[in-house]
Amino acid sequence: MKKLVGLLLFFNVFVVLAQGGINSYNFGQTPQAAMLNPAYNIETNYHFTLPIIGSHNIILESTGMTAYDVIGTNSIPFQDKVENTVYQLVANDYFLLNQKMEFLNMGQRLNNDAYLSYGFYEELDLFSTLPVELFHLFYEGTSIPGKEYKIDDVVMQSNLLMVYHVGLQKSITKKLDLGIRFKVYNAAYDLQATSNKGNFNSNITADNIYSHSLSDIDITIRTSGFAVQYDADNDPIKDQNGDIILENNSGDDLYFEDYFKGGYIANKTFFNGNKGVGIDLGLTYQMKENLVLAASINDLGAIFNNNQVRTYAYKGDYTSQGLAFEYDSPIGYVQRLEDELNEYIPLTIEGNNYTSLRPFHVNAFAAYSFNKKRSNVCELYKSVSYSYASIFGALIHAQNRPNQILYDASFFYERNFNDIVQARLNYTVNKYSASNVGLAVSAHLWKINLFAGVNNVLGLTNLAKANNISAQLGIHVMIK
Amino acid sequence: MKKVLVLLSLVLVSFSCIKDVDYNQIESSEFTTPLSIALLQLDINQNDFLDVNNNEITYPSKPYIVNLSGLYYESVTDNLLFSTQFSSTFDRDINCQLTFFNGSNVELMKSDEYLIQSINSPVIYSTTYEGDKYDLFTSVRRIDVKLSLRNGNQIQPDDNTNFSMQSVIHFDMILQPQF
Repeated sequence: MKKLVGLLLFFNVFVVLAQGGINSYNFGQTPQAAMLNPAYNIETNYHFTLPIIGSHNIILESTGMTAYDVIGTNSIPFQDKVENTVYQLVANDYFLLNQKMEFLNMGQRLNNDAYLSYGFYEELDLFSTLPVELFHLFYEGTSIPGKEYKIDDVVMQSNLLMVYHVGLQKSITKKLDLGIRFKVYNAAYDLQATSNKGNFNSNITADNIYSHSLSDIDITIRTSGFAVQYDADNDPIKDQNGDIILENNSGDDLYFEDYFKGGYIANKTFFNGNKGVGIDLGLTYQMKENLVLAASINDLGAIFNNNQVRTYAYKGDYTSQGLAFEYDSPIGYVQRLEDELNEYIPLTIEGNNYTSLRPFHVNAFAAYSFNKKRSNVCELYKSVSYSYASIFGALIHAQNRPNQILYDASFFYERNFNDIVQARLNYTVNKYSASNVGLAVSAHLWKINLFAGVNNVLGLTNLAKANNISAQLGIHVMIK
Repeated sequence: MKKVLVLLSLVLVSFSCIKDVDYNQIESSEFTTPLSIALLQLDINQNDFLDVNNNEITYPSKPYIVNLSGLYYESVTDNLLFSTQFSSTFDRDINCQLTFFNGSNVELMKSDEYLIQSINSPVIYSTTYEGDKYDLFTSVRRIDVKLSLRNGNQIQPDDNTNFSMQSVIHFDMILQPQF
């Protein structure tokens, strides 16, 4: 367990994939770049990414803290470090994990010069705000009468899905490229707790009477892909061994442990999950020979959850000044307290279908090329940027998440060393960090394209003190 | 190009660089939360001291009881404060005594006999339980409260009089993560 916590703290600052690929946007003629901007011309006739090992992305980020803040070796006692960290967090600080692994990514140029690409990849996404006020409640207990501890900003969403996609990139005019990518989602599981309200407070009246209140509680948690079965009293239905039985389409008993068996989760992830659809749109505009503008929107879509769905809701208010004395009640204190809570803030469990929106990304990009032209101008396609030795540019990226938009701006300098190697140095600033200097390299060796990038080179000197680090890796076969 | 690849390799190798952290700190951690929990309350009026024929009774017909089973003290500091506040608008004084029992209904201890005077201002009695008394308190699973009216005028049916009592337990909850 200690190792697990350590690992989480480590990953907390380990890898952040530039919130959508700042390093690789319109860079290096890689299929990864085309996944970010479907209008990006990767200037090849065929490509495929090596299955499973070919392309990995992972984002793991937590704002407001670093691993060193919590487990750093210094003279500050551990408890004090944790407390200091908790009190430096602010509302909407969050934890984000997004991991992708490509199983197939292929493409070919069509007769009309359009480029068709298709494939599928697995994506695991977890976003959760840090429950700052509940952390404060943990430290303060009831020592501050009247203080309200809100749960309004407690948000969590997560899913594991397979994304099947097919995209088309087409040059409309000599200056304008458009791209579109259709996606079909297959979600193995989905969890949404995105609109929670309510608060807790303890009070002492002028007459010194203590009271504890849960006010305006309105909590809704929706899940799909796994569904506990309940009896009329909202108690989970168990088998004779006491194991909880899950809803199963086949009619056979299903248990949580079945999910950790390879075949079941793989089947759900690849085929038998809840379905959804989405779309990526992009454009690239060659404003001048040495000025390119681009924009894209990714994952504009939704998952329609209608299989193994549950909605758990708590609503109500409850105030206690202590349980009343009773005449020889056989019911225990804790049971009475639970009964009262259930009466005033009842839990309702329903199996209604619901729709969960995908967290979509918006990118706006500009690149200005300069220095002398290189000899490797591609006459067939009009990506004239690569005929220049140097490029300056900027990318603004935004991602919608419940109750907030995550955004950042990146400024980069790109250098084309020769026909083989391109490198990009970028500086990224966002609401939480202004010290990210990244480096990306794309190399074309024979028919192989290698791409690698990190987004916070300075942070690599000690990951424990870094707020975020990013890494990307891609291996592609490109045939012109 | 070679320089770039070397540089990139160095960058990637340095991924493993995590310094100045000590995971063992987590093992010895302990967190404390100060809590004052309103545990019990009692609100009665003059009618509770009358039988069905409106004859005064010295005590309520049965002791008031709360069943504390289900409470756990494993994560509490080894001392706690149990305070009880009384207020009364009766025109006669009231004696109050709490009796504590364990899960087998064996009497563990009694409180002092509190005198609640006929004034409309609250009075608080507090007891700190620590050491052996703490161990005794944590085995309490039932509390009886007995009330008796002191001598005075015959009481009449009246909903407007009020006697209230609230017991609050003050303690520090301790969380020691186990890894």
